[in-house]
Amino acid sequence: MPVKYFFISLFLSLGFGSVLALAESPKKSLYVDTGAYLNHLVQRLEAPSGFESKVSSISGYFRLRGVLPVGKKWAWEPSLGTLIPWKSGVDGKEKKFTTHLDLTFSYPLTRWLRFRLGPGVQWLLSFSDGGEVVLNNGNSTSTFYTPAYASHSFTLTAQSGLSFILGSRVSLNLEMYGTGLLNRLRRNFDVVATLGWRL
Amino acid sequence: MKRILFLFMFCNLGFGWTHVGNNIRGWNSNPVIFYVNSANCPISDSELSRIVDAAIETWNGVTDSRLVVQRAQSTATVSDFLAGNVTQLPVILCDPDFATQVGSAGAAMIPAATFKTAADSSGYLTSSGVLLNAQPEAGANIAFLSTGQTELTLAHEIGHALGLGHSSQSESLMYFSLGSKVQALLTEDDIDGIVHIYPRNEFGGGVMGCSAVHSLTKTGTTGFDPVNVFLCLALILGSFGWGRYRFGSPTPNSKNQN
Repeated sequence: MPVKYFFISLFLSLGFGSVLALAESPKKSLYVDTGAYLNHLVQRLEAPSGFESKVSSISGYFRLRGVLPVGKKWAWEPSLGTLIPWKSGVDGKEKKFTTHLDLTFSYPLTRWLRFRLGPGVQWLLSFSDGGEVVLNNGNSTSTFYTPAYASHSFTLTAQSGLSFILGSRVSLNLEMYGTGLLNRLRRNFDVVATLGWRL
Repeated sequence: MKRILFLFMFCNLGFGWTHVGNNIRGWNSNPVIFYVNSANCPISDSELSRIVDAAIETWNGVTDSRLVVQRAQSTATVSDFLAGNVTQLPVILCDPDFATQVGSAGAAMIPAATFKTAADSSGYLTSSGVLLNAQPEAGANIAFLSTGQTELTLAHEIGHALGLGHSSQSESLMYFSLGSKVQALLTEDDIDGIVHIYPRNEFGGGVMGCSAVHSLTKTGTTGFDPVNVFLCLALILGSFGWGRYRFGSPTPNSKNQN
């Protein structure tokens, strides 16, 4: 399982090293990132023709990201992002809300390129005010129900990517969220491309 | 104006999943074990087991759901199940009198159906079972389906037995008709539906959930997942790092406030 050891060693070296470096005095900055979020990348690539947009979707992404330099090169970049707009059911009652809390570390590869890596949490919230829906069922129709309660799902994520420094106030970020990395069945990757503006 | 257009560039795909009942919260057990009896089936026991495993694998692949589905052997009969005399539920059985349940016209077009779905006052399922059409000479007898169609049909019915109702989206696995689908493929709509009923919480045990993360095989058995545990620990260390950054011990240059 070389992939497993790759991930473990990468996270160990970056994670522990960064935490130890956090005692350094930081210079703070705050970014607003906006861009596109593609979920279920692998399923999209493997889907039969015509099903790509049904197994995954592209949403807008809005994120607030703090940049806290630690030491001379490292930066710790905690962020809170959400997919926009909220996803709605066909009847408008069901809503799905996706939020990411990330504790990412970054390291400069060149003057204009930073490598990003770190853990995070994905929070999925879906809810509805309930109701009945009549749908086809065999050769007749039946009544089904929309949920009348909220549901929360919390999943650990690993985030990695690159930040291209385009200027003193602008960066282009290409990132990937991974979940269930060791599990062939549940392994999932989402891709994010954002343009960051320093406030 | 450009900013508004930018937002609306993204499709707000609707979903159409439903529940089989009001306020259904799925089975109050994990894993959910489907008890299978191949008696009266027009296909062999090994073939049925393989098809059930494939259908189970479909639902076991949802990242954001805690759901784990497994298969076990059963000696339950259709008559016992319909009479409410089976304790190991949900079941998957072959019904040679399928027309009795769905009528002759139904047996000609329905390869399987889910029966006796019931829930307690909290919404947790207490009963459900899938009957496969084994009616001799019936047009929708599963013997006349391709393996892929049988897998797709069974995955759909397992979705019902897990608490999902039909979807209004024609591409969804939980749409009432097979349509042109040829494989048991979950769409985002199906995933949203099952995640709502069986949400995953990786912070449900231990310190920030670090004792509760496991990997999963396609037949639903679980094992230790070191990467997830490491991510969990990294999250704790990250939080610790933030605390140290934000509230760390004073430097020698800091002033005491008396």
